[in-house]
Amino acid sequence: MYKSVKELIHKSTLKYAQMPAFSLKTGFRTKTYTYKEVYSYITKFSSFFETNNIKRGEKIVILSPNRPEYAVTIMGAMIAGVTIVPIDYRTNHETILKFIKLTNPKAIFASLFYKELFHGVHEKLFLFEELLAEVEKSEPKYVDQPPHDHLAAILFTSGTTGEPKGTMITYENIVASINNIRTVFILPPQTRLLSILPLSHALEMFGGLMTSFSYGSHIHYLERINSITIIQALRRYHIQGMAVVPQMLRLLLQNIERHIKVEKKEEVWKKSHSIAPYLPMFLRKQLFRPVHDSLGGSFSFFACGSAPLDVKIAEEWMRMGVEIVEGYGASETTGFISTNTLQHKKIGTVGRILQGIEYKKSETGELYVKGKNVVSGYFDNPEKTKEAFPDGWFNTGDIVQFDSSGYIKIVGRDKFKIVLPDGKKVYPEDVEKKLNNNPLVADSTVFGLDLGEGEIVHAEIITSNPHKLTQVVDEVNKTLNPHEQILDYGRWLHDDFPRTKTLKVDREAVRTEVKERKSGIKVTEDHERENNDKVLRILSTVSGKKHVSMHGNATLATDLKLDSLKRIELLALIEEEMGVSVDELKITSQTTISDLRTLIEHGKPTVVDDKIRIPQWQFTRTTDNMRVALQDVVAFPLLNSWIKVNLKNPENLKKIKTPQLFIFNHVGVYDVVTSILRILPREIRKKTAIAATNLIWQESDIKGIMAGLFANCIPFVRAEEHEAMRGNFERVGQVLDNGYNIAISPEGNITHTGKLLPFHTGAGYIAIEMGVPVTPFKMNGYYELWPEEAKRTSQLFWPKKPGSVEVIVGEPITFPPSTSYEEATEILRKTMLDLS
Amino acid sequence: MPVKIGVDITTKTRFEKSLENGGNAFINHLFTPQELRQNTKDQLASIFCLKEAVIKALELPHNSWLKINTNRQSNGKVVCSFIDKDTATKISSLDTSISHEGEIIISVAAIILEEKN
Repeated sequence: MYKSVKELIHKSTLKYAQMPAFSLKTGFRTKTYTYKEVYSYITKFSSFFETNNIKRGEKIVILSPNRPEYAVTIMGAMIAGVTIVPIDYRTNHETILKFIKLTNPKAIFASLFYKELFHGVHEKLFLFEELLAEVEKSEPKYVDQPPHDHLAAILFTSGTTGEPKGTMITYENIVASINNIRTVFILPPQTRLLSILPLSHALEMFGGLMTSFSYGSHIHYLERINSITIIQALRRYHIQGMAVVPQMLRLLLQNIERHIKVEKKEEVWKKSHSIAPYLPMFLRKQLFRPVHDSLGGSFSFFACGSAPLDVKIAEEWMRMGVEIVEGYGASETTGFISTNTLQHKKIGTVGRILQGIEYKKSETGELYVKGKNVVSGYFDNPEKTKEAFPDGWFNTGDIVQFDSSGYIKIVGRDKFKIVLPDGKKVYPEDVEKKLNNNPLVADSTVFGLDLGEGEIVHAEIITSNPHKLTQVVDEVNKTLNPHEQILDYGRWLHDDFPRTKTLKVDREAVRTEVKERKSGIKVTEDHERENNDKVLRILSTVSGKKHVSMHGNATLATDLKLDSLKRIELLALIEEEMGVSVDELKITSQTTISDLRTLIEHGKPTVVDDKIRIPQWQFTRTTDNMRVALQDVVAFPLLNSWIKVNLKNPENLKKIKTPQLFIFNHVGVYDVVTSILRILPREIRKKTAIAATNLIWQESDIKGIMAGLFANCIPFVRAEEHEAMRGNFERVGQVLDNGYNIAISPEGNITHTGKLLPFHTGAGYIAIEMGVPVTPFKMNGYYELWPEEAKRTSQLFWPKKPGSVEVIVGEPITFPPSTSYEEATEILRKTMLDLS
Repeated sequence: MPVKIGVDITTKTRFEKSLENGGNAFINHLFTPQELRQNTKDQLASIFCLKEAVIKALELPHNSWLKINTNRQSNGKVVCSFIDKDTATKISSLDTSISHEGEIIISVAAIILEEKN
């Protein structure tokens, strides 16, 4: 049990000091901070705030996607006693300004991307990209923990109800909530987690960040989040668990099923699923080995919350040996109310109420909770506070049922709130307000309608101008947030809506009537199918047109008026929501909606370079030692009798700081192995990999293993295609992250004439994006030594005559990140040409 | 000396709307890591506009976004270059210009191609 936030942070950083705490995938590289480094920043925040005239009790607003700097700022502010106001980075401009006006922060902390938003809004802006370098300069300062009732954070509820509700979270709330969840949710140290839910949400801030931090987890953040980057991260970092919204479970599953279909393994898939329920978890993992491999090989659980979870999907994951842990909570309870655990769980429930939380049910079945984790109210909003917190209890507004063992089933979430499949919430009142502002609308009622794929926003409108209904909805949609868009609507044919005793609209009665209407008429079958149709929904979002007006032969360009901007938006949405990549080139001015469907049907699952991966075994200490021994004892003595290597500028070898890039003039298949490796000092050679053509691995497994064993080769695809290039860069970044140098040929091909070929601009791209120095190596005399045919085939290992090769080592070149790719390429080529 | 010219107009709100809808996948389709590091949201709208002008001028296939890289120099000038060798070798000289007026961004690309041998 922790007594304070300070104790939690202090103890974890002491206990796990040398272990990695946070990593950020930035470009192709990974930046990692250990617990000790994190602590060092945290202790400097107090003086940093002082220097910038931000006092204890004053507020700062944070707006950024998750990143280590965000996490460190949260904890730094908590130690210093500065109140944080994190805002979901997906919030619209208007609402952000509203939050700022309401809380009157002393400073804003944001990522560069959002800089413009604050022009003329706030003078004091700190950018996360530069923040830690600034904090670093401050002196460490150890301050007392603020009192228990001190305000630690204000979290705004994600909806944009007329008045924003800012939950006021104190130090006592945080400590209580983390202590509560720690009694049932336990992680071994250094569990590798991927954090994709925004840190501005209670679940991620207090669970994903602080609880995991208390267990010494290694938390991974991504610069950009989508289905591709998530799957790549699962693989690259061998992630073990992540917190998700239910929609992500569906998306990942669809992606896997698409693979199964492409590989024509549906039969095996079905069979495996029918056997799995009878097997224990570890055998299920074996049965679905390929699935687990595609998730990085170590994946074991999803923590899931914030929207209703589809039982079918949860069960499918469980059959594949992946645990699903569903929990339930709110900002008002500092994140948690109840949860399932790995040991005790019931699918379809949100688990049992946590220790330390009192609860009761109202007559209508609504759940009320009380405890130290329950906040005292909303910021500057006594009215709403009174409404939601009667007599010190928090009214969750959710209707629940308990089973005999105390597991909670949520029957209805908040009476009116619409919860979209991705967890985003829409408050019908907000949409109605905008609708009713339109002069053509007499009255309207908005609610969530589930047509088979989760709730969508539906509006019933009373109007005397039915022919203008589409126009009205289009106009109103323009003023709504993207997630609030009215996707389905109808004309209410009565004079008024059914009303309750207190004369409020009876939404449930309206919904029931609409459902009956939709199932009653025969044509609606088609209509409903269309409603369910994701492609149409996406097209409707992108084009702003109502989807019933779209026919299969409508063209994207002329009929839906999709220009280049909208076309990319469309492809992006198809990628994000359906997990399919469609080639942009295939969409022409003639493409129709039916064509698009076919393209999606035949599209690739959105995963880059699925087959080509770095052989992990090559990057272990054992392999390193074995490889160097094989080189020293077998390969090099053999080579010595045929090729002598003369080293020029040996002093430059001392300037190499592993890991970095090596570039060389490509004069033959075995040029690096027979010449450059031999002049590298053993310690550098041990930590050096070579980018070699992926054809080696395609030709035969043995060849791949030999190339890996003797020379630490990794597969590199020779291609101009951007996707393939990106795969190459990812692998290079991974090798550097592992702490190895990597040798790359910037020409891409072996020279035909002995002269240096033009460089790929990709060379400059790699040099800049990898953020490491580049050391050039030039080989003279090698080209002349080998027979012509041997230069291109790996079959001929021996030179035509004994001789000698001169290897000239250049000085490592460091590029400022602002150098353009083209410029960097030119500098590299010129250096190579001038090397003597 | 064949000369090619391309012009494009983009509005900031429309770009922002697409960005909101398309999210990260949208960004990844259009911009290189260097561009994402150097530019704010509005600046990215200008870069999009500029790339569109270059694509028009060279009549490149419309999935060429990531083959073009722009680099923002310390004086604010945006310099454009090509990542793929094929396109880069076709070009003798290239200059671009971007201008704003409120919502509207306009960009022009003027390109001189290498003489065909």
